[in-house]
Amino acid sequence: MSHGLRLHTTNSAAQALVGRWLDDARLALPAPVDLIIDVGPLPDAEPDTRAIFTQGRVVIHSGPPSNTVAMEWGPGLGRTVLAPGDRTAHVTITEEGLAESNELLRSFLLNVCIFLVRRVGLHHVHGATLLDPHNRGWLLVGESGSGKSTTTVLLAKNGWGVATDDISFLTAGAQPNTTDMIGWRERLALRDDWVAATGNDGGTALSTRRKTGWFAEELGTAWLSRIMPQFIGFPVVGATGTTSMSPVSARDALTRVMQSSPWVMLEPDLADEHLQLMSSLVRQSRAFDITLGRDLFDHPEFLLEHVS
Amino acid sequence: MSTVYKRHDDLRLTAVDDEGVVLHLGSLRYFTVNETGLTILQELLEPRTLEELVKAVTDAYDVTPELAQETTRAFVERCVDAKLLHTEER
Repeated sequence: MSHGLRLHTTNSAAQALVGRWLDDARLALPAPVDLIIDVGPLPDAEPDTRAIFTQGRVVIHSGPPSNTVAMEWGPGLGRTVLAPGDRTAHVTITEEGLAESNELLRSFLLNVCIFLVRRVGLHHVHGATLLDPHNRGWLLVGESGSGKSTTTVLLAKNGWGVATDDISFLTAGAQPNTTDMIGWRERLALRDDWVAATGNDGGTALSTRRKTGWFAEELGTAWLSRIMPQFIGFPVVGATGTTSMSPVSARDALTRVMQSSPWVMLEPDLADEHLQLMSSLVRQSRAFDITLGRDLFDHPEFLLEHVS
Repeated sequence: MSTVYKRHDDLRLTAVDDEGVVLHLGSLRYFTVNETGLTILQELLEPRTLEELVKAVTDAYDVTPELAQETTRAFVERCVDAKLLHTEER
């Protein structure tokens, strides 16, 4: 049985905004987790001298002695502290923070959710997850600008199923010592200057991101919650216009997946599970560097031909 | 009294294709180790003396005791410098 990420708030604007975002995400969890949002002035906080990790304007402190994860967005827009093992996040955001809806959702609250769902066995990787026409799972790992969203949209239009173009979670697979990926459903988002290249019509203008987005279904393919990867790709946009692939060793694949899943370092009681899921993922998959060229638009079956 | 090597509490280790990836949670750093390094770190699931580690290496590989001693000593000293291991007297 799968559960969702449950929202509790008395603020109607937060309920509408965050509730819609979580409903769209359709995140399938093995056990429930709760997100409680208060809107108002931030509570006072003691200075935190522990190791710092930053994600945009979100500052994350973690480590001993408390082993809590403390997050502040801003400065002064939002704050939460997650205790080890606690499946409930109490978040406070200011009215000013609530007005910055895109950054509130896709930066601050996404980070909160990433730490929350770790507590029920889902570990975030910055990557796209797809299913090819031969029912083989693919994970495309890369930072913003690596071409994974454009590739995901292109492949979705060519019969591939999609879980996400950006927000993936490692979780224990159905078979022992295997890893599945769970996708956070949201619009597959292309920069406006790439929309014409993919030949897409319609879509939703994501004006604050200067992107246009489509749910997988709007591109004529299926959205899939869960995929077992057999291939890992590390895309980069090439300069030559020609797409190419070259194999990556298991050790290098693991370290690169780890760089896109840096949370493994932050909570000691969850690090072993997270690391073993990444190891299983690499063991069950073949990994490739993928240099993306414009020829992929005319020949999207290149990836399948290369691995066959 | 003898010196034993122990894994640091912040160390996490995994193996893929006979190589290892080691995390140090305290410093937010990671390291990769070759097959011999992986063998030594796996042996250190329990505290071990240098001699016990050298024996693990000579048992696993076709290598002279002298070379195993030199390789193992160099490896554990680098790990101590990186705070992946520490020593205790027992």
